[in-house]
Amino acid sequence: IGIFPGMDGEILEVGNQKPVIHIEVCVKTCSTAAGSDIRTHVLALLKRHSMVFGTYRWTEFDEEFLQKHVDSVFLADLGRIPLDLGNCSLSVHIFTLNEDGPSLLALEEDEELTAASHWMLPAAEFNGIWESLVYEGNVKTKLLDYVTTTIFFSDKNVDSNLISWNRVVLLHGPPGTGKTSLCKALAQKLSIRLSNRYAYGQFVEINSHSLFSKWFSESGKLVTKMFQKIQQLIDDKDALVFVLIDEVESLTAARKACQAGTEPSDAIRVVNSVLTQLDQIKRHSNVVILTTSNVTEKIDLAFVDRADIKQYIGPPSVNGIYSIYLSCLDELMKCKIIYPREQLFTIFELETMGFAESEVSAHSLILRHIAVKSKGLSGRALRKLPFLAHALFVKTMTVPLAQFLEAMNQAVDAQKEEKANLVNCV
Amino acid sequence: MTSEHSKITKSLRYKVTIRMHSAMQSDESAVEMVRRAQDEGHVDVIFPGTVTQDGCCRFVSEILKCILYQRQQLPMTYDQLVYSQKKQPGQSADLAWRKCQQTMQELEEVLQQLEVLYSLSRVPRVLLLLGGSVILPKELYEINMEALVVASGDRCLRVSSCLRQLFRTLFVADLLSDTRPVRLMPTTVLVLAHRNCGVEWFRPKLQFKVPTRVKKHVISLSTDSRSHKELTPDWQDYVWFQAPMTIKGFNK
Repeated sequence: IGIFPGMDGEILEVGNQKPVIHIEVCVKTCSTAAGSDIRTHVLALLKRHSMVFGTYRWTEFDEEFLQKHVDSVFLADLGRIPLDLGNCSLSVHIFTLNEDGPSLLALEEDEELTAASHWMLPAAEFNGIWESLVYEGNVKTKLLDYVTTTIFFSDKNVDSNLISWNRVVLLHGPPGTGKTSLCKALAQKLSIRLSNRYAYGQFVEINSHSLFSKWFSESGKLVTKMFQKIQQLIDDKDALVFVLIDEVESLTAARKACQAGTEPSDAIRVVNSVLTQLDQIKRHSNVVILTTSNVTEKIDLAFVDRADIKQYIGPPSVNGIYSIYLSCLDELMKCKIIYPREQLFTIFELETMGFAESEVSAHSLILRHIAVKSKGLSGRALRKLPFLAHALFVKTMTVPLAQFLEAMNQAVDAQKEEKANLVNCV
Repeated sequence: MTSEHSKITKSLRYKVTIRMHSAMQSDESAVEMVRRAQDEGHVDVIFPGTVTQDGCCRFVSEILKCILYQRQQLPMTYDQLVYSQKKQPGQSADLAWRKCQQTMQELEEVLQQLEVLYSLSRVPRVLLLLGGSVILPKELYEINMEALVVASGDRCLRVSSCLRQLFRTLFVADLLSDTRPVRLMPTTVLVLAHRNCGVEWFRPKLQFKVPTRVKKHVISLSTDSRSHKELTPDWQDYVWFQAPMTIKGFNK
């Protein structure tokens, strides 16, 4: 039986060669149990079931205490390797979801327009986004590791004049590939993973167009005001603050364009203001700035340069599409819209079987065929495809899987046609 | 000293009844109290004896009503509103009337649930957060009752006399008034109660920390230690609970 580490969930342990397993424990919102009690019971649970086969989520428990206080115990990001937890170093993260929606930050007392939305993390709204996002390679773990390192460096007081890092992440790529969702999911994940280090996370989504004033020369000041608000949040050293600037090109449009006279000079001031404010903020160890953009060539170079990670988020691959469809169908079966429940294989299982045709794999192979056909559709289009399939081609309350797959097939054709028509019109 | 005095009389001229003047007469400590309320946002109310649990609940309810009115979240005092609503039932199509109705219902619900809570647990601290978010409210009021000796039976002070003392002190200290207009903002109620008290309506917020970067106004209620030497319980197993709804406020 292995050693379970104590209270601190240090992620980067030196000299410890055992693999670190992250265990995310979601506590019920109505529970008042102390964290230490929950930890003891979860560790006991893991001791009873120490052999696991990859990523697993407990939602039902064989014990009264856990039943009463805990929603789920999740072994995250393990892949599919069988594992003896006794030989691992376990890092338990205990958290409660915040059910309140976003609160709004207004810049001026009498201003009705809100400049930013503000969530407490981990937020119930963001739960499950991380798992629902499917990307090629290890984009998600790479981002997670990047931010973890950022915070690790700050904790170790690495001199930022010698080694510089900016706490700015830029995600770019075509629309509908889940850049904004990924930002939210990343913030959620980190606030859970770092719950031992920071008491809570905060997520501020800046409403960029609200920073442009109708008064000439006021826009730069509004940006400053916005960042002052954020500064107030950062001052709380117990909080990890994520700032999301969606469609960042609107705030940091290339200043070069202004020289051509097509942009008002006020816009230059905004860019300048954003850049200097970002430099101010990066001195604090508990802030991460997440930005997204569709049109990278329009962003000011000085800003692009400040981003440590410039991650391209492309449209999903066939395997990605398959996984997305699989999760959609699973949800529909859970809601009993597709009935009766039937077995579908994961892409990994299909690959190990060598895509062999048999009675059990028939549905899965059809789904893969649909996935191949859907290549080129954006992630957003893919997620709504099952909805469209139901709306357009299924007219009954419940539907068997085979029929639904046929409907999805038709829906893909309809989507592609729609897309082609759009192009023709232009 | 004279400027302090003139400040007090000036602020009193507008809203305080004659009864308060009698409390002010040549009272040096009152001057000090006003200074403390203005500079530190702190008001001490020291009761000469023990109070009942029901009494504590009344104090909190009355302070809540008072703050909502004084901070311009209600156009009239709560009792006036209740009276006027009874007198002239409005049309449900009238937007202003519906808003008023909604605020009153929210407030009543909170007051009722406070009573339930007080029947289950001691409540050493209550926070009222106005505007902003729970992390960064615009205004923050704390009612601190940690040093209040709670007992039962006949030897306790009468609630009405305690309330009189409480509000006299509050008005003299001039903690709540502000000449500037205040915007409407949601009010959130947070209470510190025992972990295992079993209250259901209030939601536990184990991670909550009292915001530190907002000016805090503290109304601290206590029992005179000269008269009572009983030890107050230690508050280790007390955790924060948040009301699941906010009080929205309205103006006509």
